[in-house]
Amino acid sequence: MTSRLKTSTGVSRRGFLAGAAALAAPYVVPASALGANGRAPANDRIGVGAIGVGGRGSGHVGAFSSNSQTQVVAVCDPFEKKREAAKKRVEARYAAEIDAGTYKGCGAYADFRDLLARDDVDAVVIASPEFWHALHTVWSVKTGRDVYCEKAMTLTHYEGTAVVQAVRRHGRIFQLGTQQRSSSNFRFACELARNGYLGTLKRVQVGVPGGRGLANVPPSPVPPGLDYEMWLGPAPYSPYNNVKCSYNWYFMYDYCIGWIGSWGVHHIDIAQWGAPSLVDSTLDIEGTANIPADGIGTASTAWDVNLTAPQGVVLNFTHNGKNPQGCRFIGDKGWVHVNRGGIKADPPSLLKLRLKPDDEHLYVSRGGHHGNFIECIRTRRDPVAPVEAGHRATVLTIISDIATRVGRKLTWDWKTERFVDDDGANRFLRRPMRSPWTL
Amino acid sequence: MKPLLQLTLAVALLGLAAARAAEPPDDAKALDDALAVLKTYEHGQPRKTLTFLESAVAHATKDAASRRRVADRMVALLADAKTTHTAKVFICKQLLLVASEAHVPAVAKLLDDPKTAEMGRRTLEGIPGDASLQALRTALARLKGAQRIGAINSLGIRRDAASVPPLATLLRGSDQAAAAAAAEALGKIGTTAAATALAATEPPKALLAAWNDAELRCAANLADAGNAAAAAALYQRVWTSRRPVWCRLAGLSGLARVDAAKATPLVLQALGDEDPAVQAAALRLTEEVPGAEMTRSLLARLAGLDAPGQVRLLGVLAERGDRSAAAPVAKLLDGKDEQVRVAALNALATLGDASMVPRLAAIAAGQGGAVQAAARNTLGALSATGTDERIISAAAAGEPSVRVELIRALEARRCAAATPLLLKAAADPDDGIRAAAFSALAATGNAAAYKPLIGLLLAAKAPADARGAERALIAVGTRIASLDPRVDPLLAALKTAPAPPRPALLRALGSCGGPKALDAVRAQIASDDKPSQDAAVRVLAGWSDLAAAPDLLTLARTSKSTVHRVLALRGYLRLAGETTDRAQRLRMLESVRQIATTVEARKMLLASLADVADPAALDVAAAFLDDQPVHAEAALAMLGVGKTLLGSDRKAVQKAMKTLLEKSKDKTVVKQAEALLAEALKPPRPRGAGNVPAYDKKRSDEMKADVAKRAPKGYTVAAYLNCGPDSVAGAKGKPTLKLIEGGAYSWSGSDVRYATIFFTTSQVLFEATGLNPRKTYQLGFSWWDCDHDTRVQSVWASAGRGRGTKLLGPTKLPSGPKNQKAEEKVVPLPRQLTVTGSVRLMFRNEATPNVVVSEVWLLESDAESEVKITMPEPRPKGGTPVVVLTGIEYPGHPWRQTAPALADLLVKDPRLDVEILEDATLAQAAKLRNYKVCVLNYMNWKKPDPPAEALATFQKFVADGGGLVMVHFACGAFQKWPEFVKIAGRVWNPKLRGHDPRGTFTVNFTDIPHPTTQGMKPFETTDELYTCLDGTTPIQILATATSKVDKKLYPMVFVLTYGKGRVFHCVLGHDLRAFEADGMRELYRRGTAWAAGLPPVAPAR
Repeated sequence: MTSRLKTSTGVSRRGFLAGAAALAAPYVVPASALGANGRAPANDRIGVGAIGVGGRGSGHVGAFSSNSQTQVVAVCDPFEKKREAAKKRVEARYAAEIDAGTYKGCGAYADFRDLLARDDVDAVVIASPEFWHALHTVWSVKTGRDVYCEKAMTLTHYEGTAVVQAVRRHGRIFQLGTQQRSSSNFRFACELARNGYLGTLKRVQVGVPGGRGLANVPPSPVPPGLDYEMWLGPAPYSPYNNVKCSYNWYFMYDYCIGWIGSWGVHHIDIAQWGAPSLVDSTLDIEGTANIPADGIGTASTAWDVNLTAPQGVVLNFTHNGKNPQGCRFIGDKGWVHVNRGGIKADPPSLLKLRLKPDDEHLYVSRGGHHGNFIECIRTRRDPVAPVEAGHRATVLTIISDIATRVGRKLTWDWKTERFVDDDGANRFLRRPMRSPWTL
Repeated sequence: MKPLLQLTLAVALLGLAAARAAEPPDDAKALDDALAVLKTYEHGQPRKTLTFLESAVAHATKDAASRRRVADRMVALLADAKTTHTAKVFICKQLLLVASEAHVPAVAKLLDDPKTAEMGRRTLEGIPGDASLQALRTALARLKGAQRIGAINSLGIRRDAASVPPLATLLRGSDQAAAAAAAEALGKIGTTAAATALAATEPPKALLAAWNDAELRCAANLADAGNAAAAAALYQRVWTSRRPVWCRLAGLSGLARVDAAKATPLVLQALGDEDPAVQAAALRLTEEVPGAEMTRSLLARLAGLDAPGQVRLLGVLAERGDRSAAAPVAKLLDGKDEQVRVAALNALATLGDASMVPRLAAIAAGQGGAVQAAARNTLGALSATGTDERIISAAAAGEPSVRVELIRALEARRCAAATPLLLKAAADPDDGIRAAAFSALAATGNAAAYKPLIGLLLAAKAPADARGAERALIAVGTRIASLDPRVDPLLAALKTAPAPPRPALLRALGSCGGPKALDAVRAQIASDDKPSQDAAVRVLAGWSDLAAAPDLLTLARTSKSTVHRVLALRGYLRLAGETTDRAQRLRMLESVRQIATTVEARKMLLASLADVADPAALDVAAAFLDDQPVHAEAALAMLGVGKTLLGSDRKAVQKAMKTLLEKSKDKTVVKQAEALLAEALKPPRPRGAGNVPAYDKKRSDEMKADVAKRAPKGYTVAAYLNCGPDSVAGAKGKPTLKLIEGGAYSWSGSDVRYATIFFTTSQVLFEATGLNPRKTYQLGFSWWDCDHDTRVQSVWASAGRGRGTKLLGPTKLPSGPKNQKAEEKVVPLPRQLTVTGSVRLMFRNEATPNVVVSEVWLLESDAESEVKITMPEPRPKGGTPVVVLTGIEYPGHPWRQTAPALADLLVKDPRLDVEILEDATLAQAAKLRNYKVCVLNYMNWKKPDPPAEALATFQKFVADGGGLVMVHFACGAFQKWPEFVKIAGRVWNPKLRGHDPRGTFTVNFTDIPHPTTQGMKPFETTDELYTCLDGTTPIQILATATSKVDKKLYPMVFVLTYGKGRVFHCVLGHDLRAFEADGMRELYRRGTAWAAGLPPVAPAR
C-alpha cells in the first residue's frame, strides 16, 4: 500500500495529518503523526458533511463552517428548502474561497448515501430525527467517517448497541451531542460527586422539560420538495401530514420516545457521569408517566421514574414540573445542583473547592464540544462524550420510558443489557426496520 | 396508568359510562369494544381508542397468558377483510410486543399480499421462536426485490445459523443489493460457516464497505463466542487485504484486541508505514495494546528518534501509564530541546513518583517559559503515594525560590496537612515565601489556622501581608461550620486592635454574618476612624440578610456622605429584591419611595428597581412617570421589571405597559412597551394535557347537577362536559356530547370549572349524537376570557359539513382582566338540525387571540313533538367543492344576503358542494386549496388590501388550476394589487363613471360560442349596469348590456384563463333583487360549473 491521501473508493484521510509523511524508515514515529497545532492550511481542513440541516443541524453547519480546521463540503436533507438554504449559507461563508477557486461549492443531497459517496467528506455531523441516528452513524463509520451525532443517540436499545459496536469495530471517532460534558460546571459537579465531597451519594435528581400533545391531524399530500420516503426511512409507514416532519416528530413514538429521551439524555448523562454506580451492575426501575389520551402525540409529556442501584443510589428522573431543570447530586454531607443556568451547592463552599491530584479528574474538553471533536479526529483519541457513554445515557432514558409504559417494576442488568426475567419488557428493546434498512 | 384508570378511560370514550358505571370492571369487554372501534380506524380520526389499546398492550406484556389473550384478539382482527389497512398497520406494531409462535401462521399470511408483505415480514422478525424463523426462511426463497432484502435483514438480525447456505448463494448472485444485505447478515450470524462463506467470495468493488463491515462483525462475533483464533484470522485477512486503508486499519485494531502478542510487531511495523493514516492509527494502537513487551519496544526506540518523534512517543508512553518507563523518560530532562523536556515533564505527571520531587522543584524554580509551567504542573499533579509528605519536608528549608515552588505545589495539591508548615512560612523573612504561604493557606488551611491567621493579620507590617492574611482568614473561616468559633476571635481582636487592621476585621465579620457580627459592625459606623467607618458601611451594604435593612435605610436617609447614602440605598434595594416574602418586599419598596427626596436618590431607586421581579416594583416605577426629571429612568425601570415578570405575571405587565404607553412619548420606550405588551397578550401556549386535571366523574356530576338547577322549564341536562378534563359524555343510544376539535388547557390559579378549557385558533368543535328526532334541544355553555379582554366568539350548529346555522352572533366574552366572571348561556337548537339524530356544534373565533369554551351541555325537552319535520334529501357526497368567499363588501352590497343566495342557486347543480367562508382579511386564504372553485363575493372597500402572502396564496390558487367566479363588485376587490387585473381580466376603475343608476335592462349574449352561454336567451334584470371596468388583459366577452346613460355597450359577462385556472367574471348581482332573474341565476350556475372544469349544464338525472 503506498501513501495516498485519497483512495480509489474515495475517502480522503487528510484530516488528522498535517503535511505528508516524509520519513519512510521503519520503526520510527514520524514527526507528522498527531498533526500540528494551530490553524490548518486550507487543503488540510477536515471535510465535513452534514446530515439533517433543520434547526439544530444548521447550527452545526454554522459552527463547522466557521471553524478554521474544518470545511463543510456537503449537506443532506430530504427537505429541498432546508438543504438548499444550508448550501447557500455555506457558500456565502466561503465566498472568498470560491472566488479564489479553492472551494468548489457545497453539495446538497436528499439521500445521505450520495453524500457519503463523496471522497472529500472526512467527518459527518448528524442532526436528523432520532429514528435515523443509528443508520446515519453506522453508514458513516463503515465508510470510514468520524461522526458527531446529535442526542439522543438512538431510538431503541438495539440501535444503541449496533452503533457502539460499529464505531468500535471501525475504529472511528464518535462524539455524541451531549455538549454539557464540555462545560466546566457540569464536569465539576460530577467530580464533586465522584470524589466523595458530598459524602456518600444517596440520590440523584434529574429534571428536564416534559413533552407536549399534538392534535389529531388528517393525512395530506406530500408537499413538493420533500422526499417523504427518505424522511420516513426505517420507521413504519404512515401517510404524510402537515404536522409531523418538522419538530413535532419529537413527540411521536414512531420517531422518538419524546423529551424523556431527547432532553432527558442531557442531564441523565451528567447523572451517570457523576454517579457511575448507576450504570455499573443492575437497576430497579419503577415509574409513571402521562401519555396524551388523544392526538398524534404519542410520547409521554410528564413522568416520574426511580432508578435504584443495588448500592442504594436512587436516580429520580422527572419532567421539570417536578424536579427542577438540571441534575442534582445529593450526598449525606451536601448537594450540588447543575444546569445550563449555573451551579449551586450546599454548603456553598463546595463550589470553591479544588481537586487534589489523586482525586479522580474527569476528561477536560477544550475548545467546546465541536473543538474537542475536531481535536480527537486528529489525535484519534476518544472525545469527551464517547459512544459508550452516549449509549448508556440513552438507554437510561429508554428503560425509564419502558417502565412507565408497562406499568410494572423492572430490573435492568447492565451486564446482559436485558431486563431480568421479563420477556415482555425486553420486546420493547428493538423495533424491526422497514426494508431495505437494517442494522 | 393504573389498570382501573385505563378502564374508566376506555369506558368513557366508548360512550358507555352511564350504562356500565355500576358493574365491576371488565377488561375483556373494554378491549373488545376498543378493537371494534379500531377496526374502522383511519388516519386523522381521534386516536383515543388507539392510545387505550397501546396502553393495554404494554401492560399485557407482563406474562405469556396476558400476551396471548391480547394477541389472539388482534390477530383475529388482522384476518378480517373488513379491517382497515391503517388498523392492520397498528395491529402489526402491537403484535411485535405480544405475538407468540401461535400467531405466526396468521401473520405469515400477510406475506401473500404485496400491500401487507413488508409489515408482515417485520412482525415475524419480532416474534420469538423457531416458527417465525421458519416462515422467514420460506419467505426468503419466495420473495423478490425489496421484500427479499427485508427477509435477509430479518434473518441476519435473528442470527439464524440455518440461513447461512441460502445467504451464501445470494452472496455470489447477480443482485448486488441482495448480495450486500446477505454479506451483512452473514456478519451478524457470525458463525465459522458464515466466516467461511464471506472469505470464499471476493467482494465487488461497490460493496467493499458492506463486505468489510460484515467481516469485521463476523470476527467480533467469533471472538465473543470464544473463538479468538478464527477471529484473529479474519482480522488479519482484513488487515492484509488490498482494500483501502480505512478498511484495513480496523482489522489491525481488531487483531490487537483479540491477540496482543500477534498484533505488537504488526503495530510497531505500521508505525513506519508510508501512509500517514496508518502511522496515526498505529500510534493510537501503541497506546492500547497492553504488555511490557510493547513498553520495552517503544523505549528502545526513544533515544534514536528526532525531537518531534520523541515528543510523540512520550505522549504515547504517558497514555500507556506503565510506570516502568519513568526512569528512561526522566533522562530526557537533561536534554536541550525544550519541547522534548516539556513532553517528558508532562509524561512524568503520570509516570513519576515522590522521588522526582526535588528534581522537579529545581526545574520549576530554575527557569521560566514552558518548561517551568510544565514542571509546576507535574509537581501539582504527581499522584503516587507519599508525594505530599515529600513536598512538605522539602519545603521546610533550603533555597527560597525552590521553597516557593514547593509551597505553590502544596496549594495546587490542596494539601490540608501542610497547614503547620504554611503558618510557619507565613512568618518567614522572605517576601516571596510569605506571599506563597498566605495564598496556600487561603486554598487549603484548616480550622487550626484561623486564630494564628488573626494574629498574623494584626502583626502584618507590609500591606501585601495584611491583604494576604485577610484573604486567608476569610477563606479559612468558610471552612468552619459553626458561627461562634469564627466570630468570637474576631470580636476579641477588634476590642484591642489598633486602627489599621480594623477594616480587615470588619470585612471578616461581614463574611460571617449573624447578629453578633452585625452589632460589632453597626458600632463602627459611628467610628471616628474614617477607614473603619467606611469599611463598616460597605460591609453593611453587602450584608447577607434582612437584619441589616433598618440600618441601611437609616444610613440612606441620614448619612452625611453621598457615597455612603448611595451604598446604603443600593444595599437596601438588593435586600428588598432578594427577599421571598412579598409583603416585606412591598413595605421595603414603599419606604424607599418615601425617602427618595432628591432627584439623585430617585434615579438611584429607579435604577435598582429593574432587578426586582415584583409587580409592586412596577407600581413604584409608575408612580414616578409624572416626575419629569426622572421620567426616563422610571420608564426604563418599568421595561426592565416588565421583562422579568413576563413569565410569571402577564397581567401586571399588560397593565404597566398600557400605563407606560399612555404616559411616555419617547419613541424607543413606546416601541419597547408595545413589544412587551404584545408579548404579554399572547395566548396561552398549548402544553399538552399535562397541566389539565384528569377526568373526575364525581366532580363532573356535581357540575352537571349544578347547571341542571337552572335548566329551562321542561328541559333536563342530557349530557355535560367540563371542557378540558372531559371530552366525551353520554351513553349509547342516548344523547352524547363529544369533542371533535380542540386542545385542552388550564389557566392556573382558577376554579377547574371555568379555568379548564378547550381551545383552538379558529374553532372548537363538538358533536352531539343520539338525539331523539321527536324532542327539541337547547345548547348550554359557559365561556370566559380569563387572560385577555379581547375575545369575541360566535356559536354555530350544522347537521353535516359546512358552515351551518348561526346560534349566537359575535359576542364579547366576560373579561378576566376586568374581574368579570365566566358567563353561562343557553341557546335553542333548530329542530331541523337535530332531527337527523346528530348535530355539530361550533364555537368560532371572531377576534383575537383564540377561541375558548369552559363548559358545554345539552338540554333535552321532556315533551315529544307531534310535528314531523321532513329533511331535505341528502345530497350525494363527493361533489365538486365550491366556496363562496365573502365577509366584507361596500355597505350598499348586503353580502350577508347575497352570499347565501349564491350558495342556494349553486347547490341546485347536484354536482356542486357549496360552502360559505367569511374571511374579511383573507386570513384563511390557505383554505382555498380545499376547493375547486372560489366564488368571490367580496370587496375590500375600506381597509388596505390583505397581506401580500394572502394575495399570493389567492393568486397561486387560480394559477394552479382553481376556478374563480367574480361576482359584481368583486371587480374592485383588491385595487392596490397590480396582479389583480391579470386574474380578473377587467377591474373597477374609480376614475371612470361607475354605473347606470339601478334599473331594469336587458342582458344580451354575444356571438362568441362558449359552452357556458350556449343556448341561453337574452333576459331582463334589475341591477346596476357597470360602466367603468378597465384593463387590457385578453378576455372573451360572452354577454353585454347597453347603458341607458351613454347608449354604449358594456360587458356583463366575460371569461379568461389565468395560469391553469378558469375565470368567470360577471358584474351582475347588486342585491337580492338582482338575484330574482332566472337568467342571472342560470349564468352563475353555469359559469361556476365551467370554472370547475365541468360541463356547464348538469346532465339530467
